[in-house]
Amino acid sequence: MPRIVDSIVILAPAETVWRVLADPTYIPRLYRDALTVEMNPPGPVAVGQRYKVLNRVGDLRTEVFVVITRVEKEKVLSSRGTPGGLFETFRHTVVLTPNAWETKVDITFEYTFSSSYTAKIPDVATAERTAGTNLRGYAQNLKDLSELLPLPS
Amino acid sequence: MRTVRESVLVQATPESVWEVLMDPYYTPKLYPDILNIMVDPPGRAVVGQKRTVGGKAGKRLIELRTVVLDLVPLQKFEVGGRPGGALEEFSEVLELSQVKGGTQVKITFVFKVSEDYFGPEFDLFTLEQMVVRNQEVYIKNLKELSELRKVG
Repeated sequence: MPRIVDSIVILAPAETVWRVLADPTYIPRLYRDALTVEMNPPGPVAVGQRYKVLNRVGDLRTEVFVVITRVEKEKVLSSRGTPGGLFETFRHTVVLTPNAWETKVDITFEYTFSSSYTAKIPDVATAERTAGTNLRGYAQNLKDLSELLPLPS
Repeated sequence: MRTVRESVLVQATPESVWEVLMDPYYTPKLYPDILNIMVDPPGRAVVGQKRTVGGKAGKRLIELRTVVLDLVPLQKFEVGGRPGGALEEFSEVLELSQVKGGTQVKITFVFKVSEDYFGPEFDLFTLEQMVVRNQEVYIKNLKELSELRKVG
């Protein structure tokens, strides 16, 4: 099973990083080729919350279905895939470790493609490449979003 | 007040373009500096739907407030501004017409950056250029997203 492990130091407190992680509306900015996210129920992240994420793969619009499995505020966020989309299995964990004004973030992705879904995609190599690029870019995008500053009041 | 007019031929049906326009969650993929969107009521566009849009200006977080003003299915989509955000005035009108080879989309953006929102630290000309760039990229992204195909 492909596994991507990433670690990054974000120059922002864990509270700020969590604000980005806990808001599913940021998902299309965290994954380069995620287009939209439909949340059920809408609102901040919670165990059992389900997402339908539309993604671009080449010139196709594909679907990924995810459920949130673990939420420990400002510490851990985990999710896993649910049947019906691009992935047969998908597991994602983000662990935050605060260090003064910085936050160390450890990210793990594990995934396999659904053969019945990829059978409908003409170019599976593009799907594999796109998934890898998106999951590897997640940490940097989380850092960029978390390091944005509010306007001076 | 600044006005930007753009036009593009989308190689897809008006239904495909309309589908992207009606789903507000595509907004962060249409404008390069928009980060996320919250809508009230949740879900697809309806007249009166209020939108609170998070964006960035350089390294700063900003907020824009808009409202859906008019929907004529497969023909016209209009969004206006609401008080309190980074744009003092905002209007976005899209007109769709089916043509040979796809859908002709005409867009008119009218906006004014809010001096009160940003304060004296910010250069209004730079901010205005940033908004124009976002609107120019919008039409390119709308074309790309509308031309994506469904799996299967």
